[in-house]
Amino acid sequence: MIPLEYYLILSAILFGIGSYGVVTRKNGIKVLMCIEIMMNSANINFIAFSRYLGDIVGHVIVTFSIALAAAEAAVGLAILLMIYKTHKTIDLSKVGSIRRW
Amino acid sequence: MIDIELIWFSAFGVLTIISAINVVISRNVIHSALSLGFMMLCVALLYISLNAEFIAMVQILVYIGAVIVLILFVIMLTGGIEKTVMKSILIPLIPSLLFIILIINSINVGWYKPVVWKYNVKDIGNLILNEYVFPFEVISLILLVAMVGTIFITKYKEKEK
Repeated sequence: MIPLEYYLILSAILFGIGSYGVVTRKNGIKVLMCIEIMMNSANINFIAFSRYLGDIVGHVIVTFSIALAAAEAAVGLAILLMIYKTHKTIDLSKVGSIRRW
Repeated sequence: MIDIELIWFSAFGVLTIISAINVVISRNVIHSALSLGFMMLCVALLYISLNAEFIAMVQILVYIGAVIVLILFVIMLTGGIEKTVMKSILIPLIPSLLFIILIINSINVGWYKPVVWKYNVKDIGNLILNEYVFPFEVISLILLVAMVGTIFITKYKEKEK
């Protein structure tokens, strides 16, 4: 077995990439994709700790987390479609509110 | 002595990081969605080396089969080229600070002791339906609410004033 730190460092790198994308990108879909990357890094942490502690509860939590990520992606993409219908763009720096004034 | 798990981890870990970087830096949003799918596949292969076969299959089914397809549909409906990028130096300091804190906390965990893995999918089912049945019901309620909310948001029409 390789040390646990390898998985933790991989997960930290993924989390850094995802948070960098969230704060610097302006396309709404790309922000959602970076949130998915951050969720994946958290899931890697759960599975690695579960393996190295010899406890299976982490797998249950990751199952719930994947279901939550799917629901979050569906609602976020629906909101983006709504923004595109009213504003004709999904550039988050040009969108102030969802309603069209 | 060649460690097969180390080779597996390095190959797919490097592929994961490269495709995650490509998700962020690619200008064409379709390319970043496809690299996100490749990243999910590599993460699922890493789960297999961690004895989590069920989670790996769920990851492939849910992420690549549902979320990536949904993202691709929305990209096709909204147009796929990213035109503007934030030009700021101060803002990326926040994730790099977060990254440095995470790395410092990660390198000295010292929990390395080999344990025997004696579980399979049956134990996951037992835990979900016995001990964690209340979070399971809450998750199904959340999925229902998300479905209703998605349909409502996309069908909503603003009244003309």
